[in-house]
Amino acid sequence: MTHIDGIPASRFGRFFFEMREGARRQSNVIFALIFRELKTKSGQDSYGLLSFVGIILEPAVAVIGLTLFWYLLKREEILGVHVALFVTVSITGYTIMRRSFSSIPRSVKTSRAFYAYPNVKPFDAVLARFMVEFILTLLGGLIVFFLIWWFLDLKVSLQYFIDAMRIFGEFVAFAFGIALIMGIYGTRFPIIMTVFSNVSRFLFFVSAVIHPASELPLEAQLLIVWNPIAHAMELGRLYLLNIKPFDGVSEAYLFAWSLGTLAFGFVAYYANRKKVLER
Amino acid sequence: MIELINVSKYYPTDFGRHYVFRNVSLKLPLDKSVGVIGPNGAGKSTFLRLLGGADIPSEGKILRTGRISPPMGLTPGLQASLNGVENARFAGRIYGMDRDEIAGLIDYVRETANIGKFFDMPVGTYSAGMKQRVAFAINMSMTFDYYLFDEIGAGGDREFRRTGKAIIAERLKTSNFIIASHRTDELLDLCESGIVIKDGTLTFYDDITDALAAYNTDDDEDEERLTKRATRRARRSGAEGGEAASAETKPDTKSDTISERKAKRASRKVRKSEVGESGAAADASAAEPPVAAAVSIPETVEAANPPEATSSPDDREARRAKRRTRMERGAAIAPAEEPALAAPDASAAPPKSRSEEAPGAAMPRTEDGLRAEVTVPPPPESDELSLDAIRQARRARKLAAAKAISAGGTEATREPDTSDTAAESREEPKARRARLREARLKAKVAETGQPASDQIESGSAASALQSPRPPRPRGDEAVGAYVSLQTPSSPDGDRPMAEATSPGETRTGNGVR
Repeated sequence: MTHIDGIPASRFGRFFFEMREGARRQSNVIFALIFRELKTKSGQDSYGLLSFVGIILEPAVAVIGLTLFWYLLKREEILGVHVALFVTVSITGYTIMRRSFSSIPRSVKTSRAFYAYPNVKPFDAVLARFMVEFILTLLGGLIVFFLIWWFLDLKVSLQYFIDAMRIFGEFVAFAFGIALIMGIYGTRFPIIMTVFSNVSRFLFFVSAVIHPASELPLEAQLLIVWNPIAHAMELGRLYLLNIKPFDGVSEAYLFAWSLGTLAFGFVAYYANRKKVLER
Repeated sequence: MIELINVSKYYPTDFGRHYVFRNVSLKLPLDKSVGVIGPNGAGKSTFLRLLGGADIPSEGKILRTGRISPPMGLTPGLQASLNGVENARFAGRIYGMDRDEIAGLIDYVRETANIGKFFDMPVGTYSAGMKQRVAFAINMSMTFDYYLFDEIGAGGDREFRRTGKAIIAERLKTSNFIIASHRTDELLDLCESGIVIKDGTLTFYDDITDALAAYNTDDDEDEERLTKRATRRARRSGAEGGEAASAETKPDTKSDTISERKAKRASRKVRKSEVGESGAAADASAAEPPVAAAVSIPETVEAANPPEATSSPDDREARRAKRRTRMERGAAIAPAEEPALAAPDASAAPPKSRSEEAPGAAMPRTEDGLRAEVTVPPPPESDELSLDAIRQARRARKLAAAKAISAGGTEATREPDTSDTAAESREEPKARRARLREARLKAKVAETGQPASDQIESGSAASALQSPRPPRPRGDEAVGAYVSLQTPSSPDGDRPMAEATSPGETRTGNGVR
């Protein structure tokens, strides 16, 4: 759908014109969907505002709970880092991943009414919700970092900030790929959504979230080395807290998983977009 | 311009692929509004969704030039958890409007949809019509080259249709419409070209009238086929029943149209009111029982009893005299003795009105003019006795009452004066029956010479309650059956209950000794 007036005559000109028009339309749609997501979360229903606050406070609540857990085990430091700081770095990333398995894929179904608008596609719905949840979770994590710094005078190292952001980027791409795959296949086959949203809870214990992988027995390390989330956790703690990761950690492995998941997600979306619209 | 190139659309089903269209190539002109016609399930909505980009073709591609609205139909694109304002704002944002434009859009939608306070409430609380109003207003608040509508006014009321029509007329000056509809007038008003979708094929007609004609021709063919089938069936059933000739004269209620039924109902009402008036006149003369006024004689009955079958006035007089003689004898008129009114016998002519019939032979008719089977009530239960019989009964009652008073009865056991026939007719049938029963009892008492107070049946306990307690018979004075007027409360309420005792039975307390 393009305007007749103002279309460049040359092929390249038309290509870039269409790309720009498409990007403009998509940005409009995502902008509208983000506002709609925020409105729904803080909206008229009785749990709206609560869910909005819940997303922000979830990392804080998890950090408080896990810190108390370590305190009960009479342990204040893990590999020379305070448990609160250790847990905060892990929990922020893991929360994003957990939402990619559960709430974000459901956006495909909940935005169904908007597919009557030709501009709105299921991909936009997934992307908009991912952005909202990601921003809110990150905001919650930053609040916890601020509180830890304010009350406990603990802070992360910014010495390898670029490396940390790279790892974080790869992890976010991996999470979005998971969300896209789950959005497509979870909508087509609801049983997949149910199974994986429950399985994702078990990931908490095998992803080195609350303890370093290097402290686990060797047999457990041989199993955990297959888990890309554990690699992301270890690398994140390496660059932000200078904690030595376990021996098998590899950024390339995480990158491969991120790329593979994202590619598979796009292919799955393209292959199933009609079926998702029809359902 | 919208161009379809080898477009196929199918849905996977349990029985394989269901094709809506197959290899459709079509170019819709930019300067014409197009009406889409087809039976339910033919794929009109799918076609509109494909044109609008809300759905993707299974094969082929669709090229679009110009701005095309989202297809607006019975399922408008509104999010249930958001209110009308937020949905309008969402639509504005999607199409890249800035804040001021969105504010203008919201005002326009509020005004056009005209749903009051509901506009600020979640769409989930809207009715289907309200949703359509909002969706229509949102669509119309933006300028498109093509507006896609699926059943444009299906869910709206008259006011909404009027408003919508005015807005559409205005938009038709600058834009075109692609409308899927079953309404011929709507399509003729708004469209120049037409598309007929049927059996997986899609045919474009440059003129909407041609499209409608093609579609309606198919319908006519169907109708013709149905008519032929119905005729065949009628013939077959006529041949089987041997009543083919009378099929025309017989009223066929199943095949009646609504207008015919209405006309029948109206004529029935008129007849009833006419007979009601005549009945009132009959009441005023008080010569006939009131039942005569309530029965009408439909035309079909007259048809079943031709005029030549009616008897002469002399015959009627003779029959009336015969009937009077029977009444004087006090005998009930047996139905077998009365000539059957339904029988198409010329010698036994039916009366012109029910007022001429004997009361005992009152034969109601059904509304279809058929005679209903009537069981003639037994004479003692009937309140339609002859005047002489009533007079006799009344005389007997008076005699019984006088005897009861002389035997020590009270005033309450006397019968009320029944000479006022008008008042009698106004009484409830049940009370009248009870009174007649008592009268018969008293007449019997008069015959046998027993005291009336001893003959009161338990059924007349109400009158017994009103009466003071009769004097207690002593010893050998108590003859025959006794009725104790002790009235213990019945288990189901305060209704008094009479108890009968046999002679010689001894009871203590308040009972009879």
